[in-house]
Amino acid sequence: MRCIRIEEFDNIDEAVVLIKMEDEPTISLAEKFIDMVDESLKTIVLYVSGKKSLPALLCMGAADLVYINKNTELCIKKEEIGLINDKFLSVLSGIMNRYILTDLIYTNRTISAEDALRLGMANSIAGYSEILARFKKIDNPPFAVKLLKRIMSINSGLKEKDARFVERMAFALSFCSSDQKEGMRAFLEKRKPEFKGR
Amino acid sequence: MSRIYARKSGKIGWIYVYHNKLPNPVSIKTLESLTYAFEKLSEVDAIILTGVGKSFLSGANIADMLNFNYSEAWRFSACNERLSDTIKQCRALTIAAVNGYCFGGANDIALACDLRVAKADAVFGHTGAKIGILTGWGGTYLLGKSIGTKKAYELFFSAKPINAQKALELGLVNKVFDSEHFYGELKQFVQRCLSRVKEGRGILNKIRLIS
Repeated sequence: MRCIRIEEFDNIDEAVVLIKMEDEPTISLAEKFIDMVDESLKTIVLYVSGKKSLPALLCMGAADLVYINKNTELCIKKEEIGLINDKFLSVLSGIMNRYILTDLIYTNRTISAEDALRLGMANSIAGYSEILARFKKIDNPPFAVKLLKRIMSINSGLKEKDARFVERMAFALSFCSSDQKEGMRAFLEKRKPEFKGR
Repeated sequence: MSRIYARKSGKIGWIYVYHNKLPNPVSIKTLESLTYAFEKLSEVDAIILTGVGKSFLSGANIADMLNFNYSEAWRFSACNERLSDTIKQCRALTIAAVNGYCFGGANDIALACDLRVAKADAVFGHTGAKIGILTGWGGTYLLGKSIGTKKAYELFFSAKPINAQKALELGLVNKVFDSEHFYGELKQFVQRCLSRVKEGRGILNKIRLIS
């Protein structure tokens, strides 16, 4: 696991990346981040704190796991509304329903950390040191976790029947990985697996 | 293999999964038997799927899966399709009564049911990441729809088990019942559901189609 700032996201080898977002990124950086996350098989963990607006919301939508500080407040500024294109809408719809999004745009609503958690926009409210400690303990994930990320992203836009088909392909593919053999052998031998990510 | 017992009690059908040594593992044969049991109980108003002993169901037997190749893994995943379709097409309201451990693909089977209730000491876990696989019976879709993709990803990624209370908070289960009075409270719950079954029947199949 590696901890970085969002600007450093490119060229990271680790399978799990923790990004601490203190400052609001620019909209162009958020867009670049969305594209990179979309193409990446890494698990992207985002930690957000303080007052944030559209760019941070986009990064939250793109990340795999989102943890927030209790002081987090989320909104969409008036001048950001015109920047919301189809791609951004698709990302935002991954973390909020259309009613919340309409609320953010038209009523200038601010979402508190508790609300963000309740609405499913974040995984939990925690201090950065707690999240850092939690992810430092995480071992290299297996190849199947890389597949999982893509499958969940693809499946969110599919009908159940098609989603099951896609999942089945990924499930079968995971049996072609050395990590599946290692994981199951380790389980049967009651030892910790050593995954290689392939 | 796990044995499947089905019985009818008035308007309620009960399906029990039992294994005398292991925590009710699910094999292809088990899935076929479960499908048959759901089909056979087609005339009841509610079907309750539960386990006997300390487990609801667990996923597949790891020793059986270790040397699966791509085709065998594909077939294993595909064989749950018929069970899911049968549950979805059931005339009856389907309820997964999670009485204990519910691991791996067992979660996917529970999510195929209309409602899920849990015993207070039940434990849920999608532990595939620990053994190098992902779930293969619809869970990546169903769990995401049930609790949201970020929380679903966290459960898959961490592979950490959660207790019944956490499952309730996440929205994975609809109710948690006291361990000592589980089946009594379950029966009362099902009777309450049955009091609305006539009104609900028309819309049940439509609800099942909502993605």
